Amino acid sequence: MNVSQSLRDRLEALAERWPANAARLASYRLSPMLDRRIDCRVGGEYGWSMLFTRERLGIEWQAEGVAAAHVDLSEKDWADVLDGRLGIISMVFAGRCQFPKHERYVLSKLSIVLQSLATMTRQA
Amino acid sequence: MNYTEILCDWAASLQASSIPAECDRKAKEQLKNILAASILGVGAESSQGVLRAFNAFDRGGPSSVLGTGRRMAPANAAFVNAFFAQIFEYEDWVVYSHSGASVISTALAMGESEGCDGRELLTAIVMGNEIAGRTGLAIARGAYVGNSLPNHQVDSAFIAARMLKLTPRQYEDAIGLSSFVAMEPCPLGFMTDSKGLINSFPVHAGIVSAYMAREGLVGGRGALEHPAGFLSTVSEFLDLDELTRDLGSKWVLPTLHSKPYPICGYNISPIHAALELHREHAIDHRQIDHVIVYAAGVTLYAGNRFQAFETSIFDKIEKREASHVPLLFDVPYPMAAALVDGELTPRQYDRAHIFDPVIRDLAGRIELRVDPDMHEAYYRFQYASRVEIYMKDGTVLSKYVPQMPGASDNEFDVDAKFLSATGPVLGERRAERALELIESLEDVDSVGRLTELLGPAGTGAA
Repeated sequence: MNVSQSLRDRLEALAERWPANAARLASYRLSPMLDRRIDCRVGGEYGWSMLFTRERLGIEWQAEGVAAAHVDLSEKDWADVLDGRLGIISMVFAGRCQFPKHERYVLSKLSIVLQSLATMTRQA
Repeated sequence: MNYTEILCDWAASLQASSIPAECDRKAKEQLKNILAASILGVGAESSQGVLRAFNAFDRGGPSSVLGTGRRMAPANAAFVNAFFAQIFEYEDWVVYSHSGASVISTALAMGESEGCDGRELLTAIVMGNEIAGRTGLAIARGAYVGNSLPNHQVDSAFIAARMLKLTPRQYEDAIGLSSFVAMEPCPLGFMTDSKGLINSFPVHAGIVSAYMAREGLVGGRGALEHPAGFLSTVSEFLDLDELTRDLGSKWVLPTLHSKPYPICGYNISPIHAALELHREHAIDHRQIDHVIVYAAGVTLYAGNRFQAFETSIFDKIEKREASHVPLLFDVPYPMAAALVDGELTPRQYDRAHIFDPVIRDLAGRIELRVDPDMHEAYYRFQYASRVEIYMKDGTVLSKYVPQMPGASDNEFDVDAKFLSATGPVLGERRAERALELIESLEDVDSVGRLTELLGPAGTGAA
């Protein structure tokens, strides 16, 4: 799928912001989400994969390998999530995002980290 | 020895003389704080429904239902009291575990039933917090945060076992029995009165299991740490050494955080900052243009969860698809109510407030952002926030709160909370007597002397 330029811009901005903030955002308690690939879908179609490490936020545009967690949202919901206006967990409560038991430890932490990264106004 | 065995031996042999004075002091703070939360909670519509439900099958017993004059079987009284303590999210936590509603409800119901004295009640409270704090630390990297940590069927079993004077091996049986059906909360329940049950079912299981262990039921060994045991069932990641690290020398209770407002712990500092600004500047809420709140990431995680519905959470409350509970985890609504009323109490969660268009309008102009320093500090137990109120005349009022009131390094007046919460129900004189009794709990010969003061005015001791 072609991911809209609008979402690409948001993702690239987050990836750029991550290295300077990773140490503060990924505490020991949140660390289980690190080094795990997360596949992201837009309206049911593959969009991109994210991989948070302590050094970088990698964005891949082609499906490859097995993901630890999956997030499937509409274009509008993704825009809200990547802007930090809402969290992935907000979409879960609204019934618009799956929350399978074996992926919860990644998704709950991803929600915190992604929204924090998107809404912080000062960088390290 | 395995972890479960070590904890059971320690809990069964714990002597009051081994407990630091600071732990006893914090145990009294927790007792006062949870009694206040519970007795305030009696007034909730859902609490009255719980009482009616239990009245249909519980014909009476030795343990008091707080603020009601009713007595029930110990497990039932603990169930109901834990609901009262949780329904306005007005309780506490140690390290990561919301322990008070579980520990106090179990210890009071069992202490009264078993005729324990005040000293033993204090010891059980201290021990129960150690178990809750340590099991919470062991599963802190799993999927659950805050009040969701699913560990209270363990601490309640330890407390009940202690008050039944079980042997250490019977403790292990009680833990194995209690933790067999591992209870994890469905997140959806945080939209409804279900959330009030978050400690109720676990304490019921813990108490019943201790009685069964006394009667010889086999619950097994090593239930906490076994690869097919309780902790690995409720958490994807385990830090098992936290269960016994510095046991008996480094205590959990000094980390107690008691809530000064009925709200999720992540949101206390933002609310406090807003109320401080309201007090310092006599803010007219009609002159507020918008508000920006800076806090840790978990504040957004909790406070933003209910804002993506197709129709708003308020519509769901109006249709009774949700109760006031999600608003206890929100920031915009309670902050708006606090800025309009100059206070945040259970009253601000009644339907008149929830459907007040003035509060709703202001709530829609409150925005949350993460501050990375505050986010990092949160994981060192520093609950900071900064609130900026932009007035229509261009004035900007700002308040930074480096630590929440109620934290161990920033205590608030829990006695005042106790008296204001319990006085209208118990009568002012009896509320004051109950407070005095808690202060000298070591010298009280029976838990019943305290609980007889905790019924409504006109019942129990004068």
